[in-house]
Amino acid sequence: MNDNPTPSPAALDALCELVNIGVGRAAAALAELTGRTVAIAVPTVEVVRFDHPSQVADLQQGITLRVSQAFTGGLSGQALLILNSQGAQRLAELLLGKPPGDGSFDANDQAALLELGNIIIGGVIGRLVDHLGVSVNYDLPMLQLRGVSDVVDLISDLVGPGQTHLLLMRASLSIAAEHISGYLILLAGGPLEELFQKIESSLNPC
Amino acid sequence: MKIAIIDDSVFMRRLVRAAFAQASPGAEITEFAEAETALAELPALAPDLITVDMLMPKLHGLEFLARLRQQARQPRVIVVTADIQKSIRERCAELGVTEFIEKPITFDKLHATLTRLLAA
Repeated sequence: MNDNPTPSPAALDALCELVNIGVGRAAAALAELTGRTVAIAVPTVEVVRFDHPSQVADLQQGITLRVSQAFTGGLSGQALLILNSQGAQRLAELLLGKPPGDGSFDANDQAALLELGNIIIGGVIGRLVDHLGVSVNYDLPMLQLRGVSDVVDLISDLVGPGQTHLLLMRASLSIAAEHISGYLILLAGGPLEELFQKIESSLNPC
Repeated sequence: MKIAIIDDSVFMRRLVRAAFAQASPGAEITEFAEAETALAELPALAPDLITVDMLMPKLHGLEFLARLRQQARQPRVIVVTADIQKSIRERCAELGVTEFIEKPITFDKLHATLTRLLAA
């Protein structure tokens, strides 16, 4: 296996655009469910060595909520929706039509955020796999509260044995007026060369 | 009118129930958190319309639909799902799904869809 799998600039650009489209849809979904304007940033796509991860500065604020969902098939990996804890609580309130500052974070709040994660992840992955001409099977989404300071801590339990490189696709979503900020992260596992090949093929269908 | 809502998410079941309650006042609505339980109870319940999620624990929505098609009574089926893959849509169409609705579904959108379907 290649020690340093690298996508071509064209494949990287295509992947970025596909994620961008998916994230745009995710933002629209979030806006529709909350009745708030959702800001998104241009996603970044990078290959990271698992022992030299990128830092996610915005997450260095203590307990964070994570919804993770694994997918296997023509593309395999993990998709994560990460929210700051204060934002997670407010988002649940918006989804359920509860008044702000209720202070509780009960099973209904968690069910709402779990469903939101499932919707956002399904939207992004669905667009991506359709473009690549493959299909995936999803595991059930899981919700966790985690103490997070960087990407390693965030994803360490999701990386398969022997995996040294990951394709990390990351986009930020925020509702500034409500102090909600989060990330959508896609971790593509398996042989990355195969994934890059699929993307290259999708760019040259003939 | 008898309606069955099959979704493991309590959040979605409440949303769908509220839309049904307004679109079809007086409808008898039954919720199922598990597809397997729904399959066992649907023959006796005899719903006119069901909504079903795709990604559920124990039994995937596609398997649910395939097994539903083996039952004597065939209600209209609305799929409400976050799994928007083309392959899933196509398989749902093959299994005779009446309507495929992508999540997120808001109350207004769902209410409009249900009103249209119930009037047909």
